[in-house]
Amino acid sequence: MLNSFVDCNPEICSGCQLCELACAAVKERCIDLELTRIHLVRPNAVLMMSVTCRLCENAPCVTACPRQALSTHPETGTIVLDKVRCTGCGWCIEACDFGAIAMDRRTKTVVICDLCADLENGPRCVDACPKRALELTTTEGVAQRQRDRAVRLLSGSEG
Amino acid sequence: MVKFTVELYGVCLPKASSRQLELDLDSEATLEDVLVALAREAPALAGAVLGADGRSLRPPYVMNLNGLDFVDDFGLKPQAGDRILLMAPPAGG
Amino acid sequence: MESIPRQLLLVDLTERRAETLPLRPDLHRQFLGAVGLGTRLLLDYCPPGVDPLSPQNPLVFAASPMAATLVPGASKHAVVTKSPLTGMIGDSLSGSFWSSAIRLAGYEAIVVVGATEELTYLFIDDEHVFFRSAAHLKGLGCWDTEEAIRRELRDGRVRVAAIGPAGERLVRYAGIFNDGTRRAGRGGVGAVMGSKGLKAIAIRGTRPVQVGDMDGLERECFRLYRVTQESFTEKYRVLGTPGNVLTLNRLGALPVRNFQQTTFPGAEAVSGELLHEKHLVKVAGCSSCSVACEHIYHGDAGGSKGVRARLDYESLFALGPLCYVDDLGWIIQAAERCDRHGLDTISTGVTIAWAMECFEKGLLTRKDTDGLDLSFGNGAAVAEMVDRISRREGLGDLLAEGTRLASERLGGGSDHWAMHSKGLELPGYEPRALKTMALGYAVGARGGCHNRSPSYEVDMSTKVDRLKSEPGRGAMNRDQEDFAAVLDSLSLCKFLRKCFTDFYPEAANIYGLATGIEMEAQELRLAGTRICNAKKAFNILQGWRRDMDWLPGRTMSEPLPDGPGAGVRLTPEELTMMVGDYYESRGWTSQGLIPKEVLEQLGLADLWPALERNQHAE
Repeated sequence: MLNSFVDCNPEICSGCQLCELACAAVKERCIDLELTRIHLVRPNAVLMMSVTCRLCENAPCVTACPRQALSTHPETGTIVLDKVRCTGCGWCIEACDFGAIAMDRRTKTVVICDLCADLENGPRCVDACPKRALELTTTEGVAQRQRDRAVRLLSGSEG
Repeated sequence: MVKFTVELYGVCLPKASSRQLELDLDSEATLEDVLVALAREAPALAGAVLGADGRSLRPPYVMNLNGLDFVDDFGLKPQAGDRILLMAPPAGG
Repeated sequence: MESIPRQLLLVDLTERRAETLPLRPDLHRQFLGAVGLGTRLLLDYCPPGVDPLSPQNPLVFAASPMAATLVPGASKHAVVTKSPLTGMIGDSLSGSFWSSAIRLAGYEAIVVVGATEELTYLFIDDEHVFFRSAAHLKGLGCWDTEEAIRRELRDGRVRVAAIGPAGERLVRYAGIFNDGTRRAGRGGVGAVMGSKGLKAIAIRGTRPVQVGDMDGLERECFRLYRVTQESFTEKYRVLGTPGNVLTLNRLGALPVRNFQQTTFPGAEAVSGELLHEKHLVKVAGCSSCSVACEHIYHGDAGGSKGVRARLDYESLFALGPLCYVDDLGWIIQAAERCDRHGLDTISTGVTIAWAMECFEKGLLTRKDTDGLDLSFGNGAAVAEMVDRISRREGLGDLLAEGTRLASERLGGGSDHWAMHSKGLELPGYEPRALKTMALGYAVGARGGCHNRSPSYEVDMSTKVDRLKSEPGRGAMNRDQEDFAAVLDSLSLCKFLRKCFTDFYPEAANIYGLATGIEMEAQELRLAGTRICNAKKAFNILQGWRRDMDWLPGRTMSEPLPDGPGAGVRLTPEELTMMVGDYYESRGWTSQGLIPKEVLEQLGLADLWPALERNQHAE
């Protein structure tokens, strides 16, 4: 069973950052943008997209942690943090290829997306996105989307 | 039978000629009848501007006659040669 | 619930000192935020008779108290100062990440006073404020300035508002731009910033923002995210405001060839429909906005190279049909240059169009233009002129003063076609074809403006005949102004205005959930009236005269030349009637002054002594 993660379609994303604001709201009950688990990145006027934990099948953050403070949830595949073990060293932040992990400066431990496991409706960011640019998908879902697009491009037709 | 021209604005068609239609209607036709005829003649175009009932306009579209008066009473009977404009009123900028 | 403490950052550039001051608790209840808050702060900090380009003119940046919450379309800030273009209030709205950053750093507003000789930029790092040299940023375009500062501070999340070379050279309609494509464009706020030696304000805000009622706010905002995807906002999300070109052209209300015409043969070639089909690169939006109306276009049809710019209708009309240019490539070029230099596209286009008419009539020759063919229709010349205005080079130095001062200096009757009201160049709605809008332009506090008084809405409804005028238009314009003032102060983007079934109760509810300040619908409505009167009071104190509520010679003497309304005139008698009607609807005197009772009703009695002195001095 492949892990489901929150994926953003950059073609639809309008860069509003409501995913990040909604994440802060639901997790922290105030708007604290230092503690969001999803991050809008908007390098220029035409490029924008949100990034969050991709729930890697073989998570480098888990491997990197020198204190074994990170592990993978057996059912959802989300990254689980043992706060007592975490020293705030930031190796996981460096190991993550997506920059999905952030440091909570008050507790000196990290914050990582847990797919809003405690919420009935699932990830709050997906709910919030006004453009429906965010969806829960798997690596297979991403692969199928890419293959679909390639077929249209290579065949020069929409079928 | 009387000819009316319907001009559409704001639908994503760059060619002017594709945004204009000539409709033949009864001389007693109302503006509502014009909309019904539009739905029949050009269902694809009409889908963008007409309400689900096929005889009203979907917001933000409004109707204007001959570039002068905006109208919201579709019971009115247009005159021969009237040009019926369907547009979202210009705003902002 | 406990009220959220709110504070102001006061920055003195002369003393190179900054301090945090508490804001009095009732200030937001009375003035809401953004434009309203900025107006009140300007009244507090700006003495009468101040030279707008002197150190004594304060530059106020006031955020919406709903910025950096979940509220869609609320991430805005107002820049409020005494305008160097009009000498009246210059309030300009911008939005997106920089607006939210003000609050994330812990402030509701930043007031900058004084000036510095060495080009400087401010770095506001939560509660720390640094004055940093901007010598190496001199002459940089707005976006390049942002990127340079982020690199220097080694933090990609730092938000920057900056002036370009136009603001540095005190071009009277220079703006303050932020987040790449957002602009506090009108009224010359960028020139004020340039006169202070201030190149940019960089903010890193990392503090948590509290809201009034998080549960209630989440529910209401998530509902609004859905509602704002419905048909009421379709116009803005799909074609965007460039859709106005063909509709205004058809109505004979498109200003063409410096307002000489109202229909444009080249309209199809510069239409929103064509832009959408062949030039669209991306539709993006402000931070916190669920609509997303920002259309970015490229200059090469079908190509991926070439110049890119954000275009809204006003930029398109001013650099296009108004200059008789039907070439989208050149329009996009000119817009990109305005963006880079930090220039208001409306004033830039209208001023160039004025110059083109002077050239057409031989008042300006190739000698004056250093060989440039400034004929109507020459898109390359428009783009070149943008550069020369920013550099104050040759004729650009005269044009940098705006149409009012430029026509005064040139003479030869050129004021007849200097298309401004109070010095603020007119936007893309022909007043003779939209008579309620004409009134709105004439009496507008910041000058000729379609935004602070969206009275074109009245003209394009079934309520009135737009080509006629009669008593009652005054009250309609007043209502539009009050409504706009509420939207601009809460703030809520005007593009969301049709998403409410009953605006005032719903807006008061959202404001309460976000800010903890619970207001009744009627209180909110009154705040709009208060803000409009506060702006008028500022103007009176700064020397407003009755004859400033007027329109250009062309508008008042020439009939509509073409279009469905061909032959229609806007007569001086009509405008005088409408202006008087407007004063009456406001409860002002027949001279347009504010009586003591009106001030008292609005809680502005503190302004009476100064106003009384000023009025008796007349």
